[in-house]
Amino acid sequence: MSDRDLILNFLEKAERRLRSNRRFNDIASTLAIAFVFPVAFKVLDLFFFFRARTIVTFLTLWLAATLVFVIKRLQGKNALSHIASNIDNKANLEDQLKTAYWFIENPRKSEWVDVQIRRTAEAANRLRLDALFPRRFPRAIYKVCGLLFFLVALNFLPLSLNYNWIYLQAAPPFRLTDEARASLDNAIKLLERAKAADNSQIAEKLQELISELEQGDISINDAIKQLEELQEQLEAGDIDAENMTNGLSQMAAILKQAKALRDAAQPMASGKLEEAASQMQQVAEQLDSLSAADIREMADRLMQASEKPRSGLQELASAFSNAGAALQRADRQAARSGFDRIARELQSLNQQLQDQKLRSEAGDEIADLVEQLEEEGEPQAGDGQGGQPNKGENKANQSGARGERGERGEATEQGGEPSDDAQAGEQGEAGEPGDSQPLTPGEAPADGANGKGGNSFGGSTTSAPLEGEATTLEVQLLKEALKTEGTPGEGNEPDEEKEAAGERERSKLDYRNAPSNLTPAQKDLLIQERIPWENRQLIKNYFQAVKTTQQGK
Amino acid sequence: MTAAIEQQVEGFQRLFTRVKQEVAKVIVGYDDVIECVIMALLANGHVLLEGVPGLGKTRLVSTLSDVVHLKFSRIQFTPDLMPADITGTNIVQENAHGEKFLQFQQGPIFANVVLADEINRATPKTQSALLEAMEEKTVSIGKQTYKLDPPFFVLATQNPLEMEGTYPLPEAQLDRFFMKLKVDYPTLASLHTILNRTTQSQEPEVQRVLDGPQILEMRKTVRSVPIARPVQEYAIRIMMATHPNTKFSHAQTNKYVRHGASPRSAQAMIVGGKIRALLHNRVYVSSEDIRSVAMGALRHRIILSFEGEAERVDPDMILKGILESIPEPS
Repeated sequence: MSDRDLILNFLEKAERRLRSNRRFNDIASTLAIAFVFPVAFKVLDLFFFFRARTIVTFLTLWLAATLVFVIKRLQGKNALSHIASNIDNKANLEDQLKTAYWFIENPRKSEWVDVQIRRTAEAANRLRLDALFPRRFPRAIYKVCGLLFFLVALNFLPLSLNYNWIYLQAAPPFRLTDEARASLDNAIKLLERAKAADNSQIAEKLQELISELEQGDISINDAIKQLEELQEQLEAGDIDAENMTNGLSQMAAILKQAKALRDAAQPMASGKLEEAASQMQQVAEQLDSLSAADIREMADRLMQASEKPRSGLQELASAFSNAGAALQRADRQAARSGFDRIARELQSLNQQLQDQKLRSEAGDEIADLVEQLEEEGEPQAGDGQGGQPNKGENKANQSGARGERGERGEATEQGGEPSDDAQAGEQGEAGEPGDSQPLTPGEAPADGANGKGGNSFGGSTTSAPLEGEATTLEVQLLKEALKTEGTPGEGNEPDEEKEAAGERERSKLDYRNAPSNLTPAQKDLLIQERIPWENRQLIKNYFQAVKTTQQGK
Repeated sequence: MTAAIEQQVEGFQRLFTRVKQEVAKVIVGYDDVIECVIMALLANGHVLLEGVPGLGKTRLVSTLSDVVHLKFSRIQFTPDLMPADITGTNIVQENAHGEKFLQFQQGPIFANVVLADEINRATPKTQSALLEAMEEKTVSIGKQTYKLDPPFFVLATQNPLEMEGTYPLPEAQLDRFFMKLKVDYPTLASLHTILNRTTQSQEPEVQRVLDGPQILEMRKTVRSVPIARPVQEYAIRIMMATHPNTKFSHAQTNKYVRHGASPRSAQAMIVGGKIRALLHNRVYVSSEDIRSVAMGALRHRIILSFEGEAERVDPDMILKGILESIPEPS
């Protein structure tokens, strides 16, 4: 082997060794830097709770970037001139190898050059690559190990909201806020306290629903819809309870006319049914001491109170009737048992009303929960998941969103017809034509149509169908509204204020529960004379026909 | 053939070392200066020695001339010194028949080793009388050109302190010096040795170890040493870094330098590097060789700008920055 070959072989060997050393170092240092990112991401995960998709995406990108970087760094071969220079520095050869390599690469006929190459070959023979470039454990490996350990330790930190990546855990797609969680817990507690048969099912469904939401199985909007259904289910009994309360008041008003029953009627009228039951039992005990006139009066009133019972009060009315009949027959024994039954019925009614109250409160909590979820869901409105439209969108869309939220009874009002006696008619909420897409009368807004709708009489939204054809009648209220729009000043609200008013939170109080000067009988009349939705079209047609005739005349 | 080269290198080293040792018998504490002076002699260059009076500059030159066994002459430069006083002049002579003729009377320049003492005391006109001799090794008087005997070696000295009545050397003159060496005060230990040697009855005697032909042979050897292109490029980069406002310029060069070093400086660095390589038993020039001679080869070739002069910037400081900033070739 010539001196030149010897030098070149030596340099190539050195290059291979240096390259392997460099690769080891490069991999270690790259990993030392690269591992900072997942560690930092994990630290952030402790505060921001990334979802599985985010974590997987990040880790995939990180892995790909790291691999690309490592591969890029591992590629490429060192020039032999650099290796020669490196060895010169390491072995203190004063540019001997570098110069020799240059003369090998650029040969020239010179004895001096030959001497130089020969001397360099001898020097290269003496050099030991192991000593010059020993294989050292890169320090960066310690950093890599440290970071790896830290990453694992972070996963096992005993924090309640620490999701262990090693066990393939990640934050759920959705997390209830503390307030929403409190509302949920309150609702469940209230449902547990109430004794209605389906409460446990509702509570279970509620928990399942939230669980599905947290797991990302359902969207926020679906969850809101289902929660609203549960809320409606819970609050469905409110009307009956109110009806019963009114009925009890009416009954109490009648019973109060009997002197002997006055003590029992008083608490009954004020809703203290437990006390009323107790008073009824006292009346039963004191029957013997009552005069015949009192007993007769009592019998008459009991019979009177038992007439036309409200729904839910039939049993009580029956008990009144039985007791009244027994008194009329002067069958004191039967009368006592009749009063005992009245007391039991009152206690039972008390229980029912209490239960409904609790369910109603649970419903309110769910409403709060829905509100929280809506707030959470707002940012997602733009991501195509069917969230609420942005505020800037047209009113039709807004009303549609409201329709989903359950402000029903207005969604199907035709062309924004407000109704005096319907909560649904509030300022033409749902049916109000949008700015950009005016709705034709009778046409429900696109989104609003997804809601179950309701009727303007505040009937149950679960059973009311969508409205039919719009009426062609000129509605008086609409006229008035147009009139006020045409006369600026005089307390007219600017458009912005009207808008703002429309945005205000709606009262959840049923219009029938609003304080009124009407007597219970008048109220009852109003309620009883609700127009069933089945008949509305017929009535509408009638009035339209009448109007056409009048116009013809 | 290889052995012959090895012997050549060995002989060069031996002779160089002997000269140095002989000079060092008289001149104490200036090993580097002595080495550079011999280096310049073997590189066919000239040396400008700068130092305050009394440091042995003149003694160094005279000792060297004793050691190398060459014809030595000394010119004391004064303001009234004329060029003819250096080069010589034609004088009227009369032959036996009474005919008059002009005959050239050689000046002190016609020697092998010329000491131009306090060269900056003479007028530029007189200083310029050395230009031709130093570069072309010839002297032109009238229409006649006289060749100087090789080896021709000028050693000039100048006092950096006394500026009154002095004439700074013109750039062209400075550029002709292979190296400018600074002679500083000797160290304490060196002073003891100097005093011991100069205050006793017997002064050290030097031997003649080198003659003209040997010097010329050694010069040939120096020229034979090969240099790789990367190392040569390193020398060029150093030189170019002294040029202001070029892509190779150093920051301090741009700030303080008006004119950078000429290509003669690169020649000086390479030839000086070759001599140093031989002294270190190498047959190639390394980057370190270039670096070690760079200061002497460049410091007098850098012309400071007004800002540099105003701030009394030392060219050595600029060169140090340049040498630190330019990476070794790979």
